[in-house]
Amino acid sequence: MVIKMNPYIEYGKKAFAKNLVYRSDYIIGVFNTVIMVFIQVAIWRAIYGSNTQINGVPFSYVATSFVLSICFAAALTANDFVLADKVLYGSITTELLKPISINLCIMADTIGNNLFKLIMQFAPAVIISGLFLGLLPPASVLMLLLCVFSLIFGFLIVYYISYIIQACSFWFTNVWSLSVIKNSVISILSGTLIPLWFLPDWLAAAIKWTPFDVIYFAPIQIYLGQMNTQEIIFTFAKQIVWVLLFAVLGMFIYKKGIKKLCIAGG
Amino acid sequence: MRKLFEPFSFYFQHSKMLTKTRMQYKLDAFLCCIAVFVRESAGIVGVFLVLQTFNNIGGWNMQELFFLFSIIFLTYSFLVFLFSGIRDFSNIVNNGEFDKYLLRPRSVLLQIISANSDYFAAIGHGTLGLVLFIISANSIGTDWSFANILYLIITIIGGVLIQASIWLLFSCSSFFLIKTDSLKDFLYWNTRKFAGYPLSVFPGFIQKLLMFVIPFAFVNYFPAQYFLHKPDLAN
Repeated sequence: MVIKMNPYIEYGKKAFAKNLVYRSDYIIGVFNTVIMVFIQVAIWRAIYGSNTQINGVPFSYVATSFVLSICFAAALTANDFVLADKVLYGSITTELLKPISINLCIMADTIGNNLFKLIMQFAPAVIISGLFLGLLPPASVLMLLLCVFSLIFGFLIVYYISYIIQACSFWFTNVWSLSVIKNSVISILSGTLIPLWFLPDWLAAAIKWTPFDVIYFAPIQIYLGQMNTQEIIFTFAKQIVWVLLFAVLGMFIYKKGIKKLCIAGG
Repeated sequence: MRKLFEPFSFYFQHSKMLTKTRMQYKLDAFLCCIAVFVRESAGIVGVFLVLQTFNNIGGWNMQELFFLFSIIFLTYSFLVFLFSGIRDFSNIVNNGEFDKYLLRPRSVLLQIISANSDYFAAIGHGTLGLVLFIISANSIGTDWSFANILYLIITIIGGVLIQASIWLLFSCSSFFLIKTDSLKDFLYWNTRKFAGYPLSVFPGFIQKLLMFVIPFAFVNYFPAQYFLHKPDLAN
């Protein structure tokens, strides 16, 4: 069976174009990201005090990790409410009648949005904060490419975690609370709030068993050249396993949920 | 005399109805409290984890930082309990529902304040604020005399009013600018995220922002300096 890609590419293009309408939102979005990076780096400069390196981690690594992880997190998002809103307002019924896959539509929509954010928000935010805070260059061109690849998998992990939350909307209707809790956990454990080098040992060991360290932080370590070939291969394997696991789980919940879909009114 | 109490009875009538509507979805209400609590705790857990490895942030130890954060959460809890209406009324202006308030024979501001209250967020923030306060209050070396407790109460009332005024300023600007969400996001919500940290760790322009533009420094930092006798920013 050949999947026709055209409708999905159109979905992605529309999502991209929609972002262009709200210009002021977009400019403020860039500023928001840059300010958050400045704040985190300022706090960590205070923590470092007069030390140039702590636990063998120089301050420039910390600054680079914040510039990249906060900008990644701002650009590679998944909207938790695409499917959930369709269920809440009942528009999912018309979507289900269309001869295209609703899941691929959501994926296309998300990719369209993220491409916009990568080009229009991520790039300026990294350049501005990088210039002021001293972003280190990548270890090598190869490492930069590997970093980009592992980021794609990192995004897929974020996407499928979000998809599981969204699929829960068949039972919960309002998934705001679940989404907020999920985002809080990701923000602590993925290194956007505190670089994972500085976690207490017990927590660092525990995170190795979760998908959170390979979302944003592993790509940054690859970027900085902190991983050897073996570790890089292990990182990719781990990312793929988690993506598959979450994708299968998400699909399973979706299949269960679509059978008990219940819409009030309409 | 009746006229004096009339606004209060108006407020209570509204609150009663509001509570009934909010309790329609009990599971959702409960999850909402938990979600707010978890979201706000994330920042605190971050501070806690950082201080497992390091001794202090800019000369402030964990208890002192928790005290700073607790004032932010406690004031915010009262703020959303009393003044959520002010936070959200730019939406009402935006979608044209503001007319109905203008037509009723009561003060517009009173109606706006009575019409909304974010109970669940108030519980979430309040719990976290109380926990942090209880953890820190005894170990920051403050003598909780009558005068100090009074000063704390005034600090909290002041903090609530400062933030309510900021909201009112932003919301009123929606009469002219129509949509002010991103401006509010930028200046209020973002600022609040780091208002719990001591002012002295930030570069100059952010200090100025917190003192003169969005005066969060007066909500928690300056009062905390009084309680903790901290010398930073002395010159």
